[in-house]
Amino acid sequence: MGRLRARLSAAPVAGLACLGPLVLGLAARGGLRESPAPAGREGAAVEVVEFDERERAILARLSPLGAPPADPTNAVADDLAAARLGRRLFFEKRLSGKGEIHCAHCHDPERAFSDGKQLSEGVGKTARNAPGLIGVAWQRWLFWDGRADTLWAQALHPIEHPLEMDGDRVAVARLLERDPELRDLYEGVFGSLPEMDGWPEHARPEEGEGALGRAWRAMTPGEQELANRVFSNVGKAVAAYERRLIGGPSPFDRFVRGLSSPDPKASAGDLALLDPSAQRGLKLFIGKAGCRQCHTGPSFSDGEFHDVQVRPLSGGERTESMRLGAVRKVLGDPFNAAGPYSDAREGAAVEHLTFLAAQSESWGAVRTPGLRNVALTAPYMEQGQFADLAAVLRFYSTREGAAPAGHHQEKVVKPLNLTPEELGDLQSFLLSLTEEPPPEEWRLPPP
Amino acid sequence: MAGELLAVADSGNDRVQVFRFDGSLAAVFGSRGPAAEQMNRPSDVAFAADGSIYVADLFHQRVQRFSAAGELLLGFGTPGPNPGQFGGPTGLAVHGTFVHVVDRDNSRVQIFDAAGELVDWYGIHALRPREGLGKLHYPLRLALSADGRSALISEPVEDRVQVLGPVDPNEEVLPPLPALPPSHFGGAVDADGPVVVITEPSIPKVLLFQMLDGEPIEIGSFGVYGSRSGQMLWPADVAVDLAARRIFVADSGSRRLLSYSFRFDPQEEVGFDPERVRFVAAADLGEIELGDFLSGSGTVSIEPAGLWRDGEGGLCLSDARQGLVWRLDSRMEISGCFVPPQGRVVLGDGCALAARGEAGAPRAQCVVDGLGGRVLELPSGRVVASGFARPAAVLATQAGELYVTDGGSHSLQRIGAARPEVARGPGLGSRELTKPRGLCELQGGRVLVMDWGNHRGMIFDRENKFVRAFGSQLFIRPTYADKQEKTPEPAAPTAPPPAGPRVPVLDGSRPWHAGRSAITHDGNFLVFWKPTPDPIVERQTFAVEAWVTRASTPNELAREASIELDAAMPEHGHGMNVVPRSTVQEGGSIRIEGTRLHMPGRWEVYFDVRVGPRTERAQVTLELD
Repeated sequence: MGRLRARLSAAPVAGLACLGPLVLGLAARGGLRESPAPAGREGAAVEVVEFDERERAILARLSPLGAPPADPTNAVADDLAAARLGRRLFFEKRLSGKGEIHCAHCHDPERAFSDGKQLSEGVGKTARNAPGLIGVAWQRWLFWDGRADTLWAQALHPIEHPLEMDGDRVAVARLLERDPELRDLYEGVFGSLPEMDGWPEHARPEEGEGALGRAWRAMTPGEQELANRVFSNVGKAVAAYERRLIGGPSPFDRFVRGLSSPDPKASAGDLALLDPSAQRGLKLFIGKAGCRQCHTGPSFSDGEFHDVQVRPLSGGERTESMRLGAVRKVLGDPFNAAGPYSDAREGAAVEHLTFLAAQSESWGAVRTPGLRNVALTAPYMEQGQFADLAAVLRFYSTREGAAPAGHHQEKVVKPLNLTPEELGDLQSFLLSLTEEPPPEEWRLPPP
Repeated sequence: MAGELLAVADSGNDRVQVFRFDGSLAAVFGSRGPAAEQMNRPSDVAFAADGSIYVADLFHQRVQRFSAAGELLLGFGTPGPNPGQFGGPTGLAVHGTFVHVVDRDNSRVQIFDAAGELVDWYGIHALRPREGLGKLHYPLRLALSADGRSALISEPVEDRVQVLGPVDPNEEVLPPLPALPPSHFGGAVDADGPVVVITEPSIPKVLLFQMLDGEPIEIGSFGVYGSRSGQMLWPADVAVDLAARRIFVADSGSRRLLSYSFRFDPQEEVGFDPERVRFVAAADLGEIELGDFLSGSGTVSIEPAGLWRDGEGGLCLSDARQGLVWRLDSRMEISGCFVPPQGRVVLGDGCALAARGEAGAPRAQCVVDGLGGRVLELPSGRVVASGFARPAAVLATQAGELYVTDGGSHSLQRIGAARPEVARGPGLGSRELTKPRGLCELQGGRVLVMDWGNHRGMIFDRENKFVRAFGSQLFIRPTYADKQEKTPEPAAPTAPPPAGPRVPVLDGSRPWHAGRSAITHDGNFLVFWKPTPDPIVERQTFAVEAWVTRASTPNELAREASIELDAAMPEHGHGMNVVPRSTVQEGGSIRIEGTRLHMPGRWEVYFDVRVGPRTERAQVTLELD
């Protein structure tokens, strides 16, 4: 908790003195009453903003977090041995082309599995901000543009991306084959590795005359299929690991629990976890600020794509079609839920693809990020355009600097024109979404 | 051209023909339709270096690439103003492995690589007419020099060709202007009482205005790009009937006539209402049995050009393909047609002539013959006016005056007047027009002309004095913008809108009576429906079982009817991000799967009932929390 406290207390925003008790409350597990109260509220009893029945019904849909949705496309999604293998692979630098970069390079456990940079840097500088991974099991689409439809398929992209890990699937298979420990772990979950006699050392499907692409094209379809199978299993193991990155209840969760408890005495400690400012922020969040339109459900994301017209980091006009282009990519991805490497080629995940519409109005639309632990994953937006939460909230309030909306864009976001107090309240609320960190067993690198 | 081959975009037939230099046909491919390998108004073709052929598919807002044998290799582009999207691809040229695409209504040329990825673009929207230096105004076609360093771009609106050359990337030649939100008053307009409707074909949208003290205030807009019910590809013309609260849209892209209802109460405060307009019905004009109306047999495909009220409660539709004018009743059923005695002529917009019909005979209509440079009266075929360079629209006012816009001479003319020229251009002055198009009469005998080339509407009073300009501020001169007159609008008719149809009393004798019910806006069909799971929850995929009956016989399934389900959030201006699928069940019900409302809030759910060439909409509103 020490790290968490330091980060939260250092939040550079005026009007956040109220965070003191919040954090102490977390640390002391209900010892809030002994902690200093916000200015002007000395000695006050637990104050609770009135939440009516409708608001309480909404809160019940935001908390508790519950269990992550199942992923039938990954037969080992909840397999412990697979998760252990996945954890090894997540922190395995040899998956990358030069053996220098692992997943944790950009998804740093010390930063709630994000990297604190505007644009993440693997082998080269990418065009995206690395999102945190706590609670990633709830994500319906992966990547900011949603070009992967399962967590395991997502895990494969960075390994081969030339600017991220720049590895290749055949080298990954070779690594599993040659490292006895990895081999044991892999074969314990997925059965024997295929024979790789005659396979090249390095190969991945890519256009052009590069050596990796040529080597891939020289492989037989059978060999390619086997390599893809091993590669998809690597993704499934990593996903099994990432699915266990689940935080404990946040002050917000405990507040909601307290609110719905019939016993006022027992609930007082929970209710005190959200000071009046955060409670007012919560009321705004589910009410007039309209945040809940998109940040809905227990992960605070609708799992959809919206265009909030943030300009690219470079300034100027936006050129990336985001969701519009990604729809085509995910439909054509051999590792999608409907593809040959999926373990459930029918059901909800496949329906997502079956009925998916490629619409011109989704140009520029970006995945709604979840907000749990949002205080830990600055900077914000797909290119880290906003340094802190205050900047994000200011943007939604004033829409200053927003790219002009075209005729085809949806009109979900309008200036909220919030007062400084309201902005402070919203920010207090967002800070209350910081969960207890995931268990060390999964949070830290393998010994 | 490539080698010994010449490719031609056969726009009218929605195909590409490739000829050898001896005139023999080497290949023909393409047909009209929405599939990836089909096309809708191919506007230009270009050979790639490898002999494959690029096609600009105008109404589908995309570019396709076919092999020399006509096999589809690649398709890219969607409608919109953003990079990589199109607002009317009209011209193509290839250099090396890159294809340059003229994106007309977005005022630019976009460059794509062989994989269809956007590489770069050039050209920005002109701020004033005649402005050059790389600023484009409705560019149409393009040619590239052999070294690819110069581009020749034609701009018919400006009657000019611009030659663009390479620039030093370090030297800023063009001022960095913010992207203009494009306003493309498309030229089609109609008015009834204080209500004015204007199309923006390439967006595509129809805008609704209410005249308030001489000034048009936008009170609504509608239009979603697509071929599904209620969507449109290229709204060529509009007609509005205030008493019936109906707007009719002639969509030349999908060859359909669409009908919308709208809320309007002259007592209400004037303001924009996102839920003002509802889609009511669509009539497919793509396959009309000729023998029903004319001598001859087989089917014809109507290509709507002009649409106007016939003065007798019905509509007239000029057909650019057949060169005749169709008459339709208010339900959009074809009731007959006028054939010009001159034979097939290229027809544009028209109007009803006041009180020129013989007693008992259909009222006379006027229509422009665009290429013939004249105005014809139908059915007589009498030439009412002639000598125009490129007439676009004709208007007969209630006072009996006849006005004609002539795009060729940039003029608005009053036929038979001592000084026939009301305005002439090209130019931006208060009596100047640039490529004017549509015309309509406002209350008080004022005339509204769509000054298409200037992105504005111009209003003249009955003495033809300039009253007001509206539209793109950049095309309205401050010198006269200040002097625009404010005159109180004549009182609008206050007749209440016609009552909507109601679901009849059901006797509960059929299993579907237990479902929820909705009636189509035109009152012809009942839709019974039941969602699973029930109630509908936001972001949760649900299925719908639906039954259709005629409203008059709710105990009997209309088995010939099919249903498409769609949904939208009118306040947000977006629909669903899934496409549900319908299948007919054995018992006669229709099962719709894959529906998902992806946000909380106010949703409209549409049931589009299709029987033969006609579609009618029933809708319900859901508040999802």
